[in-house]
Amino acid sequence: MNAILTMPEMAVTALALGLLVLDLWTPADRKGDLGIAAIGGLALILAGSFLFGAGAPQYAFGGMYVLDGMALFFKRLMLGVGVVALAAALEYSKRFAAGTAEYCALILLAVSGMMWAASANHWALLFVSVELMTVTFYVLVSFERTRMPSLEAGVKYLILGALASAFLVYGVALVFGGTGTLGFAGDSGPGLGTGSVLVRVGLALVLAGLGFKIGMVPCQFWAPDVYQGAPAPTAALLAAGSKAAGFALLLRVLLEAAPDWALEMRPVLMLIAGASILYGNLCAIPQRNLKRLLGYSSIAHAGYMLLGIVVLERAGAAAILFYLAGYACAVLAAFLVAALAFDPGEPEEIPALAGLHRRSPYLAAALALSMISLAGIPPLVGFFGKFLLLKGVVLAAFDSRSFGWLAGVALAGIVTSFYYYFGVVRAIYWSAPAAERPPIAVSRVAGAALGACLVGIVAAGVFPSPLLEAARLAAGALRIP
Amino acid sequence: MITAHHYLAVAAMLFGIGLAGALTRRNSILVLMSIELMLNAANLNLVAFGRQAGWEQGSQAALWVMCAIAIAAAESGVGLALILAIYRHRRSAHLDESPPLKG
Amino acid sequence: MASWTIYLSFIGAALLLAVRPRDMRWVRGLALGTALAGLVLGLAAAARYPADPAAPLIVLARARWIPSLGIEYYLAADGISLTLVVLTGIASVAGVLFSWNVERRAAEYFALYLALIGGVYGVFLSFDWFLLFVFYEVAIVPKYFLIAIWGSTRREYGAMKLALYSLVGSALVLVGMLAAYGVSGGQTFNLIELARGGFSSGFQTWAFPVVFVGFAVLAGIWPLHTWAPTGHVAAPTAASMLLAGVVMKLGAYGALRVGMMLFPQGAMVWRPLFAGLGVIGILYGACVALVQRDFKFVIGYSSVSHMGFVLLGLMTLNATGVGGAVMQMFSHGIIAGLLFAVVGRMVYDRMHTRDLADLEGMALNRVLPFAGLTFAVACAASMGVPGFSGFISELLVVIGAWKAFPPLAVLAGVGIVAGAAYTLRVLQKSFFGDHPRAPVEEMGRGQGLTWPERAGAVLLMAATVVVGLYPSLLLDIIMPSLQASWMQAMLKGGQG
Repeated sequence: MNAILTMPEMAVTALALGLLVLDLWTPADRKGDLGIAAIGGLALILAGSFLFGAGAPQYAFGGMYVLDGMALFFKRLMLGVGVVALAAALEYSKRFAAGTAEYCALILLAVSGMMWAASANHWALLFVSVELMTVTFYVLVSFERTRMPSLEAGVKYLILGALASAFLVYGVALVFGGTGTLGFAGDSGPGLGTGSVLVRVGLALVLAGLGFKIGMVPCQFWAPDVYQGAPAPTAALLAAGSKAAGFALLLRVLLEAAPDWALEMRPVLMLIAGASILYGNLCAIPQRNLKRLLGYSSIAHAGYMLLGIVVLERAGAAAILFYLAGYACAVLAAFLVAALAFDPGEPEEIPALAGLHRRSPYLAAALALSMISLAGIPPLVGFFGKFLLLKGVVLAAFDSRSFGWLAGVALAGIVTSFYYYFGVVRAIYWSAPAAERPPIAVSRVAGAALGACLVGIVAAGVFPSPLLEAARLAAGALRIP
Repeated sequence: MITAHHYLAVAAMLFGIGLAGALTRRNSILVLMSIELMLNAANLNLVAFGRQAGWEQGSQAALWVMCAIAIAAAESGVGLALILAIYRHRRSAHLDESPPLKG
Repeated sequence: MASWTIYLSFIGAALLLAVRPRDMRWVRGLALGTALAGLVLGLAAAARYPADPAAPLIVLARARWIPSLGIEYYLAADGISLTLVVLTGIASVAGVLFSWNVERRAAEYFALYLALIGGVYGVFLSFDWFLLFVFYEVAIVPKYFLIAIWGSTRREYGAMKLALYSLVGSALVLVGMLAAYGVSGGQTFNLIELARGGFSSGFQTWAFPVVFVGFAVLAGIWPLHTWAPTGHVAAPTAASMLLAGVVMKLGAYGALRVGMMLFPQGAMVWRPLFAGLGVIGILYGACVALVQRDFKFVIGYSSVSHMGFVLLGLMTLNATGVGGAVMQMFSHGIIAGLLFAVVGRMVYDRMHTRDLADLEGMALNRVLPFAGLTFAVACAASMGVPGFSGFISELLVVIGAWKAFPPLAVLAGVGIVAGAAYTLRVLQKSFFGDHPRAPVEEMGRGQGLTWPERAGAVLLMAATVVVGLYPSLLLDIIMPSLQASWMQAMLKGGQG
């Protein structure tokens, strides 16, 4: 038993439970301190995660749980995402009647689910960690229970999420039937093989279930409604964390457990990637709601990241890791601004951002930078991520013409996305506001979290080397047979 | 003689019925129940396969089924609470009455 | 030192955004100072070039940037880069002077303006393809917002059209870049090493048109030129000066520096097509300019026509033609700046119309005599009257084309005549209309030209006259760069 390896996840879970207990003895006016404590605790765990070196993979629970470079990379990413999401929650929860501590605890539980997922090496751990995440998100999405859109988003996420879980479990059952094992590794070497029909059908169902997490076509229907309806910190966590967890699992399943099947299904995966890019970008164009726009764009970004999977090699996986980190910075910054810049109950309409640069130059600059990074304009991090992903696809096009089409679709999507991202920037800086509105006070915690995201966007864009090396190291841990 | 194939067939039927229900029903409680059917179809599969795979793997599968049942219960718990919250607002548990889903 | 042109521009932009001086004098002073410093640095570097004829490349900065992909931060300059750096310096100083009357959110305006300039300098000085691409993209954001916010006629449409055309072009360039990187072994983006390594002729045959068209979109190659007239018309004066004067050169420079330098055999295969497109651009731009009613559209289409000469010159693949093309880039940059300054700033800001039929009745040469003089000089240079820069550059292009494609050279000659026709027409209609509808004294009241306008106009006029009288000033730095070993492969094919 190497239970010590699971310390970070255990610590996050304990932090969540401790928060709930402490909440009982905390007077109402001091609830904010609990949130600060949670942020501090999570940051401490993030720092502690650097005690683990990215050496040879280590296993716990009889091989169910693996701690390798990739798991560690994802865990640090998710802890970082959690810190920013908590900062957003602290700010946002002022508009709840009660429940700051519960909201923070739920975020911590979701983060711990994501971290377990990053280490899953067994279908059981995969399922349990995904469910820990998903069930927590049902509550997080519908947390503003006095606001109808939040509840409706919750029900939508609940029903589609449960449906995806059903697909996932049924798929796992079939894979188990075909291989006789619940581990990711079969008896004969690392991969599961694609011998039987059961395994193939089962893996397709698993793909559908995980596809729901990352929001790829055709499992994307929830994303716009849920992003729009959910409280902004929840949406931030969904976009940055839940998507990352989905990709962690997808990388493990497709590249480690079932590489033969992935190779066989490559045309389908390419189709899915292209369709996600086109669908997300085209549907985002007419949107007026900022969060809804980010929902559609998240589908497109899932499509971009799938480009890293279809090439089926380590460089592609490294590109996904890099992209996820950059995407997390940008999208967290965007949702933080969405949490701060709108009044309680006000829909997050893009035209209402007019005059933001006068109400708060900091928030305006942050949202603008985040949009430009999402659009993939250098020297911001989004550009380099897209560059890495496209590099793999263009190089693969020398072997197979169909990759050329995929690269063309991806580039068309990127060019299209420019249109709506710049619409947001223009609204911030150059639309005349309908009415003069008071300046926005940004609390110190939220300001610092936003600052961290912005530093990430700019620094990893101008000096991509350190993050790229970390991503390459992490992807090197993937046991691609 | 009842073989694993029979169990598989029953599970596939359950899954199909559940899926059909989840896609066609408009009452959110019925949809949740349909999804439970789908989860149970998977559980049935697992148990059947586990029996076939021998003691060690079979016990793993059985443990998994326990986990899955517990998780499904948690899911329904949260789901029903949510539906209740919506019902308080709207006096209806029908999904149709949500504003049309914008494309 | 020349690399400081880039840094100073970005520092100036950042300062303006960070400090946002209340006092307009500080804003303008900072912008003008930054632009002037860039011009001085560029001139100083050009004056010392070539220090050593055996080493036609001056390395300005070289450091490893992203080692695992072989990407370098590699700034260097040869005569072609320096010519365009000097052009950028002149155009940016003149642009600031002609933006003196921008009052609305001036700090942001000048910050975006300087950021655009910084990106442009960066493209001209990069010898690493990835770095060049980054600077190329950096320039897109400011030019979009300069037009979308401070522009005039259909500005959002013009800005978006320009941005989307540029992005489509960059997408093509990106594909070519990644393919070339992969084919060359995935070790380097260094342009000179890539050129030395060489590519198989099969690869060049498909990579050349992709990269060349990708860049040439921004150079206004027919039939992808349509962003240019709408973009120029929509942009505020200084931005259209920069668009026509400098940004279009980014495209032509990229097509030369990357497309032709790396894929010389591909250029040989495709040059009849692109030379033909260049000539179509010359004639098409001239013919459309001949029938426009909007003063600014005339100038916009004249840019398409003049850039056709650049493309034709590049596609001659001989030293005369390519050297002429680079001269033409410089010359058109100056002349387009002058023309747009007169139309957008001197005339439109005072008369509030650009309709030639209206202007005909205003006797502008008597209302604004200095503007009339400026415009006459600009038109003379634009027509290619000897003594101005346009003459020598178009002459070189036509001579080069005569060696390569005699029929096209004849058509280009026809284009020069057509250019004279529309230029004379617009000159006559705009400034020398005979029938003033109101007393001249009344129209001209309080509308004299300000000193920044005069200074900017003098600067640009001086540039075109000096280069026109002493073309060797530029030719002496352009021609040695064409002798560099990595340019020779490109020029070998074009001697016939």
